[in-house]
Amino acid sequence: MKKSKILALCLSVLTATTFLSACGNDKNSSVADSSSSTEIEPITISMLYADNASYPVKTDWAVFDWIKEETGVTLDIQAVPEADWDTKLPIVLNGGSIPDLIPHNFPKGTDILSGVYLPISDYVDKMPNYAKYLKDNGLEAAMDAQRMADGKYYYLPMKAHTSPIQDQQWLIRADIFEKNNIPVPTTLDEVYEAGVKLKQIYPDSTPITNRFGSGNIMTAFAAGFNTIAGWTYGDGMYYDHETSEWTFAPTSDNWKDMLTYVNKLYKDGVLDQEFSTLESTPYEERIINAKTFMMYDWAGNIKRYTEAGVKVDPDFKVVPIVPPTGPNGDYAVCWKGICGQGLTLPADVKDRANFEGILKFLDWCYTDEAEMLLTFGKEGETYEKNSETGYYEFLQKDPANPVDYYATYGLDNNCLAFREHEDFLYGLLPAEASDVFVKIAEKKCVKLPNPSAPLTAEQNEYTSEYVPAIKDFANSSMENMIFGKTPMSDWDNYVSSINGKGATDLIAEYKKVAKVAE
Amino acid sequence: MKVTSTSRKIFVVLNTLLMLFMTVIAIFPFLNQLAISFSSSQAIMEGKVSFFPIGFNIVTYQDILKGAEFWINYKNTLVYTLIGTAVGLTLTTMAAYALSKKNVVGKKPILFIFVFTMFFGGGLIPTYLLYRTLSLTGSMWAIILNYAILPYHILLMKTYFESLPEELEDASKIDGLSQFGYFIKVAIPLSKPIIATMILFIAVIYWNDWFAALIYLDDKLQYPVTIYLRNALVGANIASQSGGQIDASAVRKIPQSIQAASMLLVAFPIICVYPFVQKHFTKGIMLGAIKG
Amino acid sequence: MGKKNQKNIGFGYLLRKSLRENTMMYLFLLIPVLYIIIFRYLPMAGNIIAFSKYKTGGSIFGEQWRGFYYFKLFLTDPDFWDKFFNTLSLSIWTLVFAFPLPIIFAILLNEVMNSKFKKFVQTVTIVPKFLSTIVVVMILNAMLSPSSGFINQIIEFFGGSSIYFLNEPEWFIPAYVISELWQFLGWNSIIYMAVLSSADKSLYEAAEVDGAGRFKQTIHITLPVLLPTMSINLIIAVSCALNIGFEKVLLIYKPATYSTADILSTYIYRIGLINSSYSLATAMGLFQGIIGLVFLWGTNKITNKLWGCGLW
Repeated sequence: MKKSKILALCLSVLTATTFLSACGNDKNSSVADSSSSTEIEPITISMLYADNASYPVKTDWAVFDWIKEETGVTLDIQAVPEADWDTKLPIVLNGGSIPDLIPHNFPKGTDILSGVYLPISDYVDKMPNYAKYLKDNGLEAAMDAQRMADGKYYYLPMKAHTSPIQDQQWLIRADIFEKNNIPVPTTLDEVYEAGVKLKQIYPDSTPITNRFGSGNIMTAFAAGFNTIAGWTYGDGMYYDHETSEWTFAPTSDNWKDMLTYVNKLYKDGVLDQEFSTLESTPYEERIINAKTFMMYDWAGNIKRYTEAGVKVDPDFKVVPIVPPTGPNGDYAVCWKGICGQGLTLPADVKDRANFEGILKFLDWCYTDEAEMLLTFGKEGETYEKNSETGYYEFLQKDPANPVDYYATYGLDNNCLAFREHEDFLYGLLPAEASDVFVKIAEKKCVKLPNPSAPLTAEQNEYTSEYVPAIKDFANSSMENMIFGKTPMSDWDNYVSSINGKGATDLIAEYKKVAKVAE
Repeated sequence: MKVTSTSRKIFVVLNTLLMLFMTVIAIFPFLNQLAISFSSSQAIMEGKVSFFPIGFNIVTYQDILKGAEFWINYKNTLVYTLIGTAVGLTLTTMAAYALSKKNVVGKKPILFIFVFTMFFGGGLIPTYLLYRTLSLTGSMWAIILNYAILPYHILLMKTYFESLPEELEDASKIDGLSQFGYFIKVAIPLSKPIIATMILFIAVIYWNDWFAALIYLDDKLQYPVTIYLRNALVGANIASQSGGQIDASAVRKIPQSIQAASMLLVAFPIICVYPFVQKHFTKGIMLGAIKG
Repeated sequence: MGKKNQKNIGFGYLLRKSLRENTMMYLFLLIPVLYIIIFRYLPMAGNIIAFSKYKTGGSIFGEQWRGFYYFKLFLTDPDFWDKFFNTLSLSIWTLVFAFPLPIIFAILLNEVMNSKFKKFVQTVTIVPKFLSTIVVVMILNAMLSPSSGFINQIIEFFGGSSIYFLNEPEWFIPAYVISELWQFLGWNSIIYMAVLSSADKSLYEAAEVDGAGRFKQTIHITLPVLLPTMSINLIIAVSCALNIGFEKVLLIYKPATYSTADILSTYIYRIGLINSSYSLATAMGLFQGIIGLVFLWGTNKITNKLWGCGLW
């Protein structure tokens, strides 16, 4: 044991010096790009890999060869099925030998505080291309917001959107809206009105539907009411970027307004009665069979819905819209960045022989060159520029048998593509839809996420005792108020119960931090 | 001589109807999955498929059969099940038989040692670390050993062995059979129904295991087919249930026809084993004849 | 004191005698006992983190001694007791149906004379066990859907109004229990079928000669044959009451039904997920184990008294 550790140390010192000398003379990043490809030192980097069943990882993927060609890095992949990632990850973190890279992971606060992750922000100066990428794309503030109480952040962004867009958007059946002369809703109130009209015309339908539990669509509604709910709930504390203040969302007036609104949607049959339990299969059935006309879904699905939909109704057309706004002009769309991925490293990786090589590799992953290579592959071989739209697209020589570039090449992979070229998203959309995304970016519809909780380790341990109970209560009360099982008039009761469960304490802990900061 | 009263006739009719009803409700989702596995994706997405395939095709099965990994994993499952069942059955039978003997002193505390583990475990991480220390992680023996002895199986077998008449052993002793000889020549043949049942129970546990494989194995080529199946079926569902976030790529899911076909391919062999197990139930044993 | 000594000598003597006479039996037990000690008892040392603070990636015995802190934490938490009673009522309802029905099913199936039909029924009814839980939940969702579900169509056909079963806390337990029955009824009857086939055929013949009807034969011959296995199954089912089905509940419960559907295992899962609180989860696990042992002891007493058979 000891011997190998000493050996590893010596090796790491060796590689460190070579790397530093290489790094010293290329302060500007264009040189960094070229130097990384000229000096090829073969090393192996291990990676815990989240394996998606629709594009199972294969060691002979072209993307692995390309990475090796460019950087000399052989990735040693330890595949974990995505379905059980949450079960396996703690075993890996606790089991003693953690792979060098763990993508698909936004680290949990408690795990960070226990010291299992590497504070990667300490090494940004060794990753000039990464620093440049953050700077060029205005991501510095977003990453700064992820700093913990110790002033460090513990993961690298993967597939972060560089412009303020969000690939999950409101989609509508444009043809149905047009046929019935219903204007495209721009506010949540108009969403309600459009829904009521559609319900009158198609009594069999439920104009708005949703899948993946109430958390999905509530995330969007909450943003429209300038609060958080569903998937963005976190510990319930919401940071208002304008006032720079933390407030407790579930007892705020915004939350109450949100519930009143969604309850109205539900009561009047605009929102699917089953919106909190619907599974993917019946959900898609409803879309295709014109049983629903508005949903909050990933733009990448439009193509699939349309392909099946036109066979049922030749006019079938699903398009994204600019997210509707709430009472105070907030756009009802999930905040930015949260839907990307995070990459973590174990704390002890800094003592490993290949550490400098790892940093060098990670840095390369953030170059423009890597972005293109890992999203689209090689020009002429796997992608080309669409002369009409001006977007890059995957080559499809035989449209009848399209190549699945995820499954056969490993491109735009969740664990391997650190930057996703935005043309990728635009390329998936019909032309008018990509215009909508351009508008969404221009209008800055998508908010910044909450910064990381400012609590100290002790505070975190203390609050984590009651945060889960508060969350359960807030979520079940939320659903019950939407379903009308708990009348909105019970609001005061609800507020005092949730405060009794520890919400008052939680707020007090956040206040303490704010005072210290002042 | 057959006594067939009216009430008996009514009973037989009602009983047959009830059995038919049970059969129908048990099989209909299975048929539904079968129909889906042979249907076109368009028909599935429109929600048209119930019990008969619509847009019949076998592309789904061809696709699955093409995947080399599916077969490697399938073969793994088969190997783990065969070895696991052999090891598990041997150990369980030995322990249960010894614990069923009345005159074995100390069998109560030993039985308690087994039963106690049903209620107190070591927790996942300490167990994992033990397997790692013993260099068992990353090998199939981790899976075999994880389920080698289950106290519940010991209890079931022990109960059965206890029902064998004691007079038999006394008689065989006089005939000069040793304890081991009696076990092999008399007790085992008389216990065919429970042994057949145990083979089935143990085999199904190994066949269906995904958890031990997930925890103890690291190499995809060592995984049993159930891991693939779970990943294909569960996909993003578990994550969304636990309040996790779903991203665009997680929404990409395996077509339903492939899900259904894989499930059937995985379930089919083990269901086929059952009739062979059953054969040993119906024979029955005429203990009276032996006693007499 | 004297009595105890006497007993000790007696035990030592008996043990030596037994070792001599049953050497083979002790050899049979050697490997299984070694196995259980190494693979089941050694890792139990890790339970010490129920009393100390565990850090991700830290020492498996924890970093800092906390005594009964974690036990106090959940034992004084009213939410914990809600989940505790949810778990108990779910288990009791499951037990009330899932324990006797496989026995009745096995007996009735045994009455089927046509052996081909019998085999067919038996094989088909175990099929649901092999459908993955997620598929079972999909079927459940489809059947119970308020808009398109089969059950609600029947209700509406008879003039009722549709019920959103999976959204109503009071419908959670029936939905769960019925789906469990559907999934495992056939499978759980296998063991009884196996035991039934060992019933002494001559007893039935004798009863027939005595003119005892089928029902009487069932009560006086069949049931006693099944009793030992029944008592084992009952004892195990009762003592594992707190460890009831995690995966299916996780897939069908939702915030609106938490009030009846959230059970200990899902609660621990959520806490673990949010907090990585291994110490708390371990403490809860120990608590579950103790309750399990108490239930085991109690049921064993009862079955011994009622049926004359138990674990020991």
